[in-house]
Amino acid sequence: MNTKLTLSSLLTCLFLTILVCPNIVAAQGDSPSNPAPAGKPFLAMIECGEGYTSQELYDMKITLVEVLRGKRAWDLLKGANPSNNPPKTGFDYILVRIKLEFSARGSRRVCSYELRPEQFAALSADGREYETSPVVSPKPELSGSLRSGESFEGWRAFLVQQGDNKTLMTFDPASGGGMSRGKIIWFQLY
Amino acid sequence: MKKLKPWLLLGVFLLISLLATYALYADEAKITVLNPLGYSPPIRRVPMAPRLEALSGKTIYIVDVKFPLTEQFLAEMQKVLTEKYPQTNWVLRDKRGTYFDDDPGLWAEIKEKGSGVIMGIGH
Amino acid sequence: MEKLGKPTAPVITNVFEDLVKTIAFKKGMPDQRFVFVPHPVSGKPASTCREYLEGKDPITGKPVLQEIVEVLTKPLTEEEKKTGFIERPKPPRLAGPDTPENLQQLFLKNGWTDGLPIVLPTEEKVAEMLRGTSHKPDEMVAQMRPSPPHEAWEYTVEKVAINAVMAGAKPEYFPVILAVASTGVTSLFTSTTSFARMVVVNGPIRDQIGMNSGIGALGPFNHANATIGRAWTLISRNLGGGGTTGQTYLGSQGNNLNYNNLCFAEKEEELPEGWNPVHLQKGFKPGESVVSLFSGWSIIDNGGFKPYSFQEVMKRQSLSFFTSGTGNCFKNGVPDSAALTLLLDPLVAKDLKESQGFKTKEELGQWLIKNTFKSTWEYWACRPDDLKKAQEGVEPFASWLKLPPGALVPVPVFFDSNKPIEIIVVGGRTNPFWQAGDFNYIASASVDKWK
Repeated sequence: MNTKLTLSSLLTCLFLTILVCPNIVAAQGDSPSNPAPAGKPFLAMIECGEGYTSQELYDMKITLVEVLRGKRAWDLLKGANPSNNPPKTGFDYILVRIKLEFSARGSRRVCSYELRPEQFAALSADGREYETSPVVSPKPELSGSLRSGESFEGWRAFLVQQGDNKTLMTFDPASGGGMSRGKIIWFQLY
Repeated sequence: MKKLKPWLLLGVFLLISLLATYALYADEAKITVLNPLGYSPPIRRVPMAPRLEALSGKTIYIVDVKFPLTEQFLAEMQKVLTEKYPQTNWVLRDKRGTYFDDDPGLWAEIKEKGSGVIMGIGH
Repeated sequence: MEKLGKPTAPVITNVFEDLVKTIAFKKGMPDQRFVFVPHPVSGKPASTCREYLEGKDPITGKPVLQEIVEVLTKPLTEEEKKTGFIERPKPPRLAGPDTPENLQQLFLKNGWTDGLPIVLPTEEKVAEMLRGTSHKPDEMVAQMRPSPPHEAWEYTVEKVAINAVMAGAKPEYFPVILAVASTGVTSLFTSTTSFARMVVVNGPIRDQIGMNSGIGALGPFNHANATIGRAWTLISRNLGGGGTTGQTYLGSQGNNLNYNNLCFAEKEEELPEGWNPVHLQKGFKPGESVVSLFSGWSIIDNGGFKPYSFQEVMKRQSLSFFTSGTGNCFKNGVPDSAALTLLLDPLVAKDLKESQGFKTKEELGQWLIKNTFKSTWEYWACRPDDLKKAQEGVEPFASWLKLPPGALVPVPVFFDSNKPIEIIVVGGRTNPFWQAGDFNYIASASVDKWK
């Protein structure tokens, strides 16, 4: 009887806690402990503009379409460019295909987003950024100019340590000489 | 003593009632509100670059970020450092555009040819 | 540069110690090494600069040159080599329970207000505010930062509602406030120059919520005008990370316009025929309700007294804005970025159309662009290379150097043709006055989208 009463009370408390507690469930992709998975579009906000008073807010839908690792990645890279070398000992290639869809919120729509490969970086689970791999990605590479209403899909390659099974990828629009700004978005490459 | 007992009990009861009523009113005077603050994003640590063992024989870029009317400071910095550390190559360069603008070309040059950077100056 | 593997010594003037350390932390470099010199160096002669360089860092007391060398060569500590992430705890959802008086003090102490008492955002009040929109409370509205180097914070509809309640706004104003918030533009831009902002509302929403576009429209005489503008300031502080003096707000003197951000409705009904309201000029349709945001520093009140025509007075006024409007002095080769916004009483607009013949706002703007020239002293002050050419006899500079003091050089003030002169009609026809400011247009957003 006492056990039943205790269990009922606990379950009631749990139910009430779930019901009452604030629902601040963080959106996936907004932190390294909550990275966005492949296959699900993530809506990021990008500020784009000239000078310091002309920034307009744009929406960028980013989908991590495909993540290839190891032999599958190397097979594609081998075919992409004869100058590509196999990964060095202890390392794997990760090849990702990413789709971006760019649209303005405001009326001016004058900004074009400069997409550069450096805006996507791979990090180990403990936060070390991997150096840019000199390997040539399959076409199209993640590079180009997007105006409002346009979309782009391209490849990016990373060289990561073999034991690193929780590799993360960040998207930072201000990286690589990019003139746009936005919050860093986190993706899981596993 | 026996006669005092009921009065004592009554007194304790009244005291407890008063305290409970006070507590009740005190709670009613308090409210809960929502926190107006937004959420700050997580920060990715950037480890600092390994330091130089010595400046002698190295090329150090002095980058003028182009805040208005500060170019004389960077020019003087190059002169002073050259006087004091003549074994180091002090290269003064203007960043492209205004102080808002990025200059990937210059960063690429520094990455290739420089050993370190001094960057200045706002205001 | 540190990420590129190059040890870097940033040299900063000492008043920005808090700012640079805050930014370095938020950029993931909490242990970034800095070298400080006395403030300011801008405009100082070479001899003073040398003194600063051969002197001591005002913060650490170390010799500046020695410090530069140390920053580049001293081996890294274990802390400086660290990688990983810094996740900052999310603020609790609720504050209290406490007495209203104590909560007012808490909000003030935490820097969550504009210094004035606020309406405490109880759950009931916020729920009522949320009824002003069909959008869900947890929908992400936008992100905002105090200025480009700073981090951006994201915020939901509910968070905007909390700040709207604090400002004293009514639920029917909420779509306007959401529209402003959706632009991601901060009202507390953190420049040392003390920026101001302006909010202009167009469309049917103006009358629906009782906004003022007539007598006293720019003053403290209307609930909607006052609280919508105030809400933007609170949003910029609490949801955009702005307003922390020394760290995310550096305006040397501050700007009184930040309290309410010059929020008003355009007097569309008294626009001369052919003069379009702001939202139509920005690409929206008649019948749409829109907010438009502008950025600048100052506003001057002007009277139209004959014999000069209004537009001639406006020409001369536009030479008076020595903020970063008409008084820009960047290096040669970098375009000036002069801006002008005119807030015209309907009497002034009527005169400009009927007596002066400006059939549209754009015609007036173009006339001012073509006919407003730089004064000689401003020109030579900002163009030392041209002055040198003038002194060497190179034309046309040499002829311009011979102009009498107070004359105008035939070089237009308004360089950037991508930035039109903005003209807005507002006021109650009690006097043909107008206000001129060094404001330029930033963005517009649909109010209807947020209903």
